[in-house]
Amino acid sequence: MKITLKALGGMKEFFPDKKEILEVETENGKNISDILKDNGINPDIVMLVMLGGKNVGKDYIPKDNEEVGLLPPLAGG
Amino acid sequence: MMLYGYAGKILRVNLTEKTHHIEPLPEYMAREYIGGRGFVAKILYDEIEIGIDPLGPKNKLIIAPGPLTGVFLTAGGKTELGTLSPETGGYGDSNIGGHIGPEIKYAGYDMIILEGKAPEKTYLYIEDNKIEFRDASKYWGMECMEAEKALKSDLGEDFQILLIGPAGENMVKFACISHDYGRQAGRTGVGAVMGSKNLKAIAVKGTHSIPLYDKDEVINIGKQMFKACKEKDAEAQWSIYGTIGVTDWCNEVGAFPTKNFYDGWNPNYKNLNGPTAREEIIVRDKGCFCCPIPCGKYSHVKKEGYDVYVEGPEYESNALIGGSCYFDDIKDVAYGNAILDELGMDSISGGNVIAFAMECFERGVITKEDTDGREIKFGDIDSFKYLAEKIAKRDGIGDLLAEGVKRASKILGRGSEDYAIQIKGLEWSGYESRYAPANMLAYMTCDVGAHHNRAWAITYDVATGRDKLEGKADRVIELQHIRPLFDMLGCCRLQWVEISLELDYYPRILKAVTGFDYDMDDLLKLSEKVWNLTRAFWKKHNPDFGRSWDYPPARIMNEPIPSGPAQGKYIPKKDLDWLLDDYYKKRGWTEDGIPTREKLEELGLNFAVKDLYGV
Repeated sequence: MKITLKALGGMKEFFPDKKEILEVETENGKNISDILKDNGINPDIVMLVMLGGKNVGKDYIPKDNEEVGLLPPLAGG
Repeated sequence: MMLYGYAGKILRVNLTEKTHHIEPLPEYMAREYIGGRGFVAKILYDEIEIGIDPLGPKNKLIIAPGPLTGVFLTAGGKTELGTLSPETGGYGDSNIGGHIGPEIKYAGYDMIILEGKAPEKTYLYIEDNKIEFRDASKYWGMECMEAEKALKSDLGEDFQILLIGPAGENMVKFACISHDYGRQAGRTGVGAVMGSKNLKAIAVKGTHSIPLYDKDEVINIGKQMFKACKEKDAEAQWSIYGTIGVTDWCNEVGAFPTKNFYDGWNPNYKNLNGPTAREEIIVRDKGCFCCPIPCGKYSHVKKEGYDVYVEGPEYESNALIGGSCYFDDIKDVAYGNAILDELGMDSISGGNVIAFAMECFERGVITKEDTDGREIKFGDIDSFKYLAEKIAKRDGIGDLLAEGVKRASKILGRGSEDYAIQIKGLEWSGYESRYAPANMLAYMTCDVGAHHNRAWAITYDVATGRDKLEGKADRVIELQHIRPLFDMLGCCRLQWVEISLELDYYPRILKAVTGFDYDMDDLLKLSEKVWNLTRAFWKKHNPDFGRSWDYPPARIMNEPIPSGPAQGKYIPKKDLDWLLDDYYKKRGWTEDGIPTREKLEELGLNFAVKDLYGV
């Protein structure tokens, strides 16, 4: 199945090729954390996983064709 | 020549003589130093005499908005304050939001320079070009919110006020300057300097406009920025929690200062995080001038023993009070924040100093003999309140603690210097960095002491390897040019930092406001210039300044983090030296961390060459 990862905030910098949108193939039942690792993104740099305006967290198991936004930690005021 | 985006005037105030002088803003200042932090650094470098007492009449307090301050649609509400720091003896500055910067510009000034010392308790009244030295005895002694309310009641709600609380009046070395019921210029003791001048408050009202180079383009770009911020924030949901939102993550990577930076996480962090704050205490958002993503939060905390409102807690207060003083209830953190805000003390230094005192008591370095027979404990709000009030009054043990942890630990001795968590005399802010080399380097080389505002790089450390040293200096240097640039422009950086508003808006809007045709590289070069200027200031005022001043205290250098996600980690001195060597080399500084003659000349700081090199 396919899902879309969107870089929010400063996340673009840590995406492969500094892309803002990453469409990835994955298996049913995998959580966001594992999907990130499969695509060369360290899940530790993700603070929020946004779906429909809510944080669903890195343990969230996405459904086919879903788009999640990934926000890195706030960089301090 | 007409300067767009600037009021074109400097207000120089002699508090001793009760006189003032309005000077034209030289064009080179606007073009080469931009405003805000740039102005502060240049004036302090040029005008502060060597060897003066920072709490004496010869010190100056500079207040400077920037060309983007007071311009709508750009979150242009930021103002820089600066002085010779009474806490560190070096360059000190502090940034404040709210609405004071715009009002100063509307009153007709790009900078206020406060000199001397008022003979009586005074507040400065500024209404356009009407400047008066007024009796402050009615307000002296009042806590911050009460004092601001009283001044606004007496003068009018349309006045913007900067003021100090009892801590500033008593020259507590980390006293802050307060504004807008809960915003502060927190760091480096700017409040103590204001108190040393017998100045309780500055009340400003302005009715002028600021000329814009291309008004239509300002509106056009400003609207684009505003829309972009709204869209990005809707996706990221950042302003729901504001800065406290990072509490969870910092604990999960072991970067949360805990028990006076003994440990790197608070096991009860879920009681201190953004969702808990939102659920239990936050009642509404609060923003600065024209900000589309208000990060301020008004909270109401009610528990047995207290019932208060506070703007906060933002992340830093949460880290230094909740983490370092080791609380497990967000209500206690917010109450602690309120106590410090009311007394007028920096919540970063204040939380850090109180945590230090808590550890000293635990170790018997301070005893009940010093605390009026009272037991002092980590995580105890009554201990926190007791110490805060003693410090603000400079009473008993409070008089020692009011000096800051570096000086206090030197006097207390018995090894307490090892856990006085500061660099250059400024208490460490809210990020445990023993497992974050870039962030550690950022703290070591920050130009006011141990503060994260110039460069925050923990995500970079996690992304590129927390055990890796290569590349960290490059990242820190890059951030140390970008982040302070906002403090020169006079606008907030959180729109870029937190939700990634594109940086290229800023040179575009600067051009529309001022007509200055700078690209981002030009602006970063000017920021690099100011970076070297403040480093030169340290050396000019402290002949033995150099590499040795950049090191953290013994706990940070020698003690592995004892538990949590970063258990066992620390950065040994040989690696800190590697980082410093790499950083100094890339900066074009000597091995002792001083800008070389060539670097100063390259940046147009030829006037500093004589001070540092004699010829």
